[in-house]
Amino acid sequence: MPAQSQTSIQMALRDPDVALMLRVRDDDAQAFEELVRRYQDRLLTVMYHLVGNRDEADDLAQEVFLRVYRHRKEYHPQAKFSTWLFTIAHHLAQNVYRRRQRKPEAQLDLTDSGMLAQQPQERWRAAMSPAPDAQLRHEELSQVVQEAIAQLNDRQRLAVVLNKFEDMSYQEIADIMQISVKAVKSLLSRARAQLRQLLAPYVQMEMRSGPLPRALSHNATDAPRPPAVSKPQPQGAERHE
Amino acid sequence: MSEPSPLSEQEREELIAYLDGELDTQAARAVEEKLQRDPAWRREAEQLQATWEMLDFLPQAHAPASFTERTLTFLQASQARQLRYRRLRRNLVYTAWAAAVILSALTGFWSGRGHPVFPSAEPPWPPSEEVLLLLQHREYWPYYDKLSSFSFLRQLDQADLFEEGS
Repeated sequence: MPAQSQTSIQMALRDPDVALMLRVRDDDAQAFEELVRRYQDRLLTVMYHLVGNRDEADDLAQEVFLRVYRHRKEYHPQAKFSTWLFTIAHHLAQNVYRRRQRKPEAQLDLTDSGMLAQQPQERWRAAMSPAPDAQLRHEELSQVVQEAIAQLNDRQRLAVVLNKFEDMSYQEIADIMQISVKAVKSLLSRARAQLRQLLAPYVQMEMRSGPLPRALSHNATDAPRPPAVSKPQPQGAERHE
Repeated sequence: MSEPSPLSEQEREELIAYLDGELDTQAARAVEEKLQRDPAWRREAEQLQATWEMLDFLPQAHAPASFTERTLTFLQASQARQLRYRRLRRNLVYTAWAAAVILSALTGFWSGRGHPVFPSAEPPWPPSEEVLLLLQHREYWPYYDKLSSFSFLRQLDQADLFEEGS
């Protein structure tokens, strides 16, 4: 048996999405539909945080799926299917960044409206005010965090979003971004240090007032939020009260 | 604003990689020792972890119910477009070939006017006496264009032409 097809079988056994994609490669339309259903929310979330605009994220996610289908015959499973999918997504997002550099007026719209136009300090005071109930406080923090993420550079944002939402390892992120694991480590370290600086007032506020009700709906489409991906917490990382 | 980190950039990288579960056993143990020994490391870990947890407030997008259907419809339309494009391209290639053939035929025709490229009829069969005569004398072929008439050839054919006394 050729080595390539042996790898395909091993990958398909390990990752059910690889098996699905292999069916797509064999022109199974139903498998493609299933693949879209499985990944649409995840892809849309990542695209939304990368480009900061819901409509654009929607179009890009659709384009990613179309490219998956168009290039199905070239698919050879060597890693998880999601790595291939998000590599395509990364390339498309890069096109958007390049277009924005050429036309600087097109910016992330996270800070364009309402409370998002405020400076972080003003927002911090608003969030600390006694009036807002939990829902308001939650929405406020959601906007604050979105703005903080938008302040990261494109590469840092991608690494953070893949690490946070897709729970990807440094190796997987390196594969997608086509950089070394060491570079990912450095990228994430700087991104998290920057986020720590930007969100410090809110982190302190949260630590003082106790954890916020994260189960509140605060997503882009008002649908219930799935539980956050929990990473294994190594010893020493727990909070010291 | 928060206090500046007491850790160097490399130490912070190690700590974050540790929090992400990316270190090997030996490196993880080294970080754990520092966390146990140094309150500044613990504070940094705590703040980094709390900041990371704040990202849980980021909205998660949910595709509208029509997304899958819209994507599939778009795909079908795109495939139909590609098919049309492929047909158009194929037709253009055929047309170009046909045009090239016609053009070269016309060029050949116009450039060859008065000097027909193709003989108007097949050579007569059986060949004439003169042709047969010429074929018999291969040694004279190089001088073919110097022959004024076939009568000279006929004379050559007569064996006694160069005999003495003739």
